[in-house]
Amino acid sequence: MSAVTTFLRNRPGLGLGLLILVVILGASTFAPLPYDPVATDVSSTLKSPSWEHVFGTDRSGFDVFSRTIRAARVDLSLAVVGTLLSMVIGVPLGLLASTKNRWSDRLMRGLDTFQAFPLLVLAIAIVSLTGNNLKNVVVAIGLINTPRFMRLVRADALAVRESRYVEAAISLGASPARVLRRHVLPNVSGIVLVQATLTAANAIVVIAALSFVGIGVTPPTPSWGSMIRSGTQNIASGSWWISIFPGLAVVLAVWALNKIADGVQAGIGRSR
Amino acid sequence: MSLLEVRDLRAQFDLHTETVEAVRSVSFDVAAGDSVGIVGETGSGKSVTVRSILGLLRAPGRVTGGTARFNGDDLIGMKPKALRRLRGTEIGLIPQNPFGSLNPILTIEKQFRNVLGAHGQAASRETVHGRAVAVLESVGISQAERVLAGHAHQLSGGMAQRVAIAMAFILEPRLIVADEPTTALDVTVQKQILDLLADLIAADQRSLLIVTHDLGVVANYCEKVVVMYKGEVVETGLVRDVFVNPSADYTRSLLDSVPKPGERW
Repeated sequence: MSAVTTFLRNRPGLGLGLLILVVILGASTFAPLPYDPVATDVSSTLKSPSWEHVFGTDRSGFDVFSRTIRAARVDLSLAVVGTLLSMVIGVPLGLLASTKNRWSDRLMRGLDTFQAFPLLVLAIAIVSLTGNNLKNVVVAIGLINTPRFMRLVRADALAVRESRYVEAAISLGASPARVLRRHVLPNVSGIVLVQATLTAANAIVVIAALSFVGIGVTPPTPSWGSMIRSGTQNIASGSWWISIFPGLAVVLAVWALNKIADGVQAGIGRSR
Repeated sequence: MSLLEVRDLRAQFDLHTETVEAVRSVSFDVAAGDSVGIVGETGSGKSVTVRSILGLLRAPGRVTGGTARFNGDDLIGMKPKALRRLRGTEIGLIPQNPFGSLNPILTIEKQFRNVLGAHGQAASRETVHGRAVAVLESVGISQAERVLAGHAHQLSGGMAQRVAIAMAFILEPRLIVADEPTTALDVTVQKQILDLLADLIAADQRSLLIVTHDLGVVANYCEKVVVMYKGEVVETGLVRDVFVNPSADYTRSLLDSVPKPGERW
């Protein structure tokens, strides 16, 4: 345990990021909320922040505080599952693409074409075409982020393959598949962890963007993106609190994940 | 029949502007129980020769001709799968730089498990552990348990090379190929490592093919010597004959280039 605490003490950013993330997740999952996040109260609409409603209420009478807290549940789990999906697909493909043959070249050229699309638009297109449900949102997040893992893993794997210890393993009888699994994969796992954290941060923004344009998570289920959207109509008339607080929540979650990524990166001896 | 018979081996590097013939018609034998040294200056093709034999030559290098019969089977034309089975079990390679050849992020024990696992011999953690401890003790590492639990960076150069030697020996190959095994080490540990290697070879009648630029190593640890220069074998024979009465001009100049104590005064 002391090794862990020393590790964290040397990287205050990492500790802070983890703390914020744990608080956000814990609060959205376990904390008692002052109001039901999916119940409207027609008697109190568009109330500015007060002791009664800390973050105010929106046009339909939803309590913004309760919804901002609860939204982390669906937003973060979509981001995490989407990131895991892209990792599970991207890492093996990246490893395979590090072998030198014509298929790997074609795969990489195909990837170039794929990445030439604006990814956010691609995600919107995928969800619109396949049907607006949470499963398809996860698939879209996973798909648009897969190339990141592929490129990263391939680039690192190419370097590891040239190393003397891989040659030593081959000289003692390891097969190509074995070299990939036992030597290359462990050596790229650290950087994959960093990339996963950054991808999750990006996924949060993409999910918010999807919900903002009305696809992905739909009301009354609370999500940061749709809350920001619902507040836009009232900002001009002075009701700033409806959009601002979920917006700050997005910023906080993304910042925390970036801090974690920085800390892990420093921990594995690489700096951005 | 010798254990290893290399005949007319040729290898070249196809570069963009030119083709470099790094190995030109190299032939030599390694008999069972023999220790053979390949000597030559940097760029003479000695490392490319052993890499070609082991199938470790990388693009743009390639073997263009010749045979390397190990126990009668030609290693050059062998299918990758068959060659893989021989590597480690029949032919063990001791690398030049022990730190480079150990994976920096895996424990030493895990790397032993990988070596055994590549040949389907990593049945249980206990047997792997037992064999690793035994082989580490045989290479003179007393704190085998501690070494196994640690990583490469925790070892000294001499210790790391002992571990690398142990990995080459754990599957008990009949031929050990050592590519400049002491070049990366402190002078003080070079002799220890070479003595260890000689003892291990002699104990089980194994053969040793050692690549070096150090004539002293060949003189002290080999029976036969192959002298290479510019990709060709200029002289081969028993160490005592070649060193006492070299027939090739190059060998003579190589022998003359060794600094001798007292020469200055």
